Amino acid sequence: MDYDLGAEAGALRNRLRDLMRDNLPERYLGAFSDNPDDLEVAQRFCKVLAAEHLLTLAWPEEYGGAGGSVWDQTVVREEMWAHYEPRGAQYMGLNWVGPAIMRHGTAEQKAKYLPPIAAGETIWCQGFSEPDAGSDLASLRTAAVADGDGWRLNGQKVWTSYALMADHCVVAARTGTPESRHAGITLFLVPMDRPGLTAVPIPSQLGPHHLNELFLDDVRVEPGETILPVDGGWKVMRDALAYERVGIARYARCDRLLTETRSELGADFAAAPPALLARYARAAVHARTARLLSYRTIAAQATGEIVDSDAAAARVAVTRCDQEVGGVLMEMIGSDAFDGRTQPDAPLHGGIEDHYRYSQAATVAAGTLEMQLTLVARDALERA
Amino acid sequence: MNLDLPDEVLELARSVDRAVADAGSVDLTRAAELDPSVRTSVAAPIVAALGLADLDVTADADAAVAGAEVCRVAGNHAFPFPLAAMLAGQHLESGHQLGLVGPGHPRVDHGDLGHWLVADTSGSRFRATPVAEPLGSKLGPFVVDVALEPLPGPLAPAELALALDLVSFTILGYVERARALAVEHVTTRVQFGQTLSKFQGVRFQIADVSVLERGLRELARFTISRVLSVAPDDAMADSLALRVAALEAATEVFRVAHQLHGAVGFCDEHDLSILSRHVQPLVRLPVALEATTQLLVDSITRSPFDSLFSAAAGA
Repeated sequence: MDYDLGAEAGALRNRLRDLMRDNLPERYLGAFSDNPDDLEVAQRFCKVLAAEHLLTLAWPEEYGGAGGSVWDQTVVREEMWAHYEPRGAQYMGLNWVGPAIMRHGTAEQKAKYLPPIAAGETIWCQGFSEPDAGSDLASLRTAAVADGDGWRLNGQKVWTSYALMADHCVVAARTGTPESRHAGITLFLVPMDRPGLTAVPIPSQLGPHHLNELFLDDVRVEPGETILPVDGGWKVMRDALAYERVGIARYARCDRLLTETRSELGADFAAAPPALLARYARAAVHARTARLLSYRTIAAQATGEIVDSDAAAARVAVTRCDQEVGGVLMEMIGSDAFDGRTQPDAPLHGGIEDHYRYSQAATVAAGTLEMQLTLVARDALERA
Repeated sequence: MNLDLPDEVLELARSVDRAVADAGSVDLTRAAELDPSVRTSVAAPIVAALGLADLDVTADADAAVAGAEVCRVAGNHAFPFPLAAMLAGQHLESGHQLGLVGPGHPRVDHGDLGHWLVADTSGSRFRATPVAEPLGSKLGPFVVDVALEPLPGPLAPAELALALDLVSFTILGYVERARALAVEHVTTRVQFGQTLSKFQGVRFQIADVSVLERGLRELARFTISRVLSVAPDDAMADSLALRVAALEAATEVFRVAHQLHGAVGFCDEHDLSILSRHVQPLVRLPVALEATTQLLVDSITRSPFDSLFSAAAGA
């Protein structure tokens, strides 16, 4: 047994940290703020990564990638998430939209969509959830009706992250009968400036850009903008969601915040109430456990398909840990807990406050905690 | 990165499992409660026949993993023998077991069997001799009061860490069996016209304990794989972290397993009752959850817990 990611992974981690140190403002907290400069920083940084062949490290070489291993990819995910995802919203295109197009797209679609993703020039969003189709995605009702050689979309999406930043959206729509559920869904690649497509922000405690509504009013989809086969979208969505369960290395930010809070508090750390220090210690144990559960899933991914229950178990541990760390650290910084990124002298430049707010959604986003528990239970009970 | 157990370790674990199962599994523990000499007349010969007296868990990482897996399997069956202590101690002094004691009244599980070295959680060493018969109580049937004679020099941190890890693997074995019993029960027990496993509240409890068990297994394997190679302070912090996770999992998994079994789970004719009683010495000696956590806090206060960012923080 060997848990060492290897010298190359270590060198990659250092290289990424050097690039972030040289190209990001001190204590950058990501692109999702009211300040448009933050988005510009992320866009610039993506181009830096692209120039270094690090943006698509894990993509196959034929699509402009570096053919890196899943463990290289893991290092990238860990470092990016720990540093508040300085790729901004581009991780979605890199992590699953691009790979989905590689697997399911036509030659024309690959040629059209993959190079801009690889170059860090385009942002994608994901139009899956609807007002009446949250965890039960298969009940989605946005309708796609054949329109000559293309389609017409009508309906509403919700919780669409990054919709106001995005250039394209992967829209899931009903092409089968209303009762067709999983078997009647198709994915469409729709430019965000297409007439009839309107994104509306939803003010939220998560901060700007995380939650939006998307209205589709007779949106025309051109030939070549459909992921084939028609009615075959569910498998692609399922792969995307399975990927998303391990695609965000939340444990890495937990590790970083736990370590840096201890340093920042200095002598005050040891003076914290014993019960709080005990919670801190257990949170550190849980962050390590969550990382190892994620590694188990990634190891499976390296040899074949992601196992649903493995990925779900990892996600349960990771998201609970995310909230636990947020709660512990907010309590450790006392009345400074109200200070976000715009307050001078905020602990870790507002990183704890930001993490706490965002962690509240960890057990909801990308499949609720209850959905993950359902998958784990099914596996445990059916293997019996 | 290789997360798989070596083939020879898997084969050894299967051999131990077959031998203990053939001897009666949890029934062997029931027999030992009625007649404690079963531990020497039946359990000890099984250990000898498996060649475990020749296993030096400090030889290399694979040997440490092998010893740990043997302990896990022993935990699956609540095997009535101090296997973890034997594996932790026999390379220190021939024929000796290594026990761990906490502050206060010194007690060692199976402390009446063979020769004992013991250490406290700071590494101070003692020779232990029994001063009474096993307690014979519900929760500590083989727990023995011992007298301590100080020995010069501390136990090496890696040895202490290894001893803690072997106990944690034993607890993992208990946790696995308790979870499996819970699954077996809810998939067969019918109430209100359907198996308990059809109720969502039950399914979520099974999922929760499954996640705890999976997490403990991954953390245990990670910890044992590097116990002999990391810096001494990190080895101890690792082992305390593993013990925290093992005690958290044991507490919750046994609580849920009992809750889902209902009254039958408390009856000694049911394996769950035997397992939940016999795991108690493992979770309370040398120290239980809160005191273990305090030891981990002390460690973290001295130096950061090893993580993806601790090296950067220390630089």
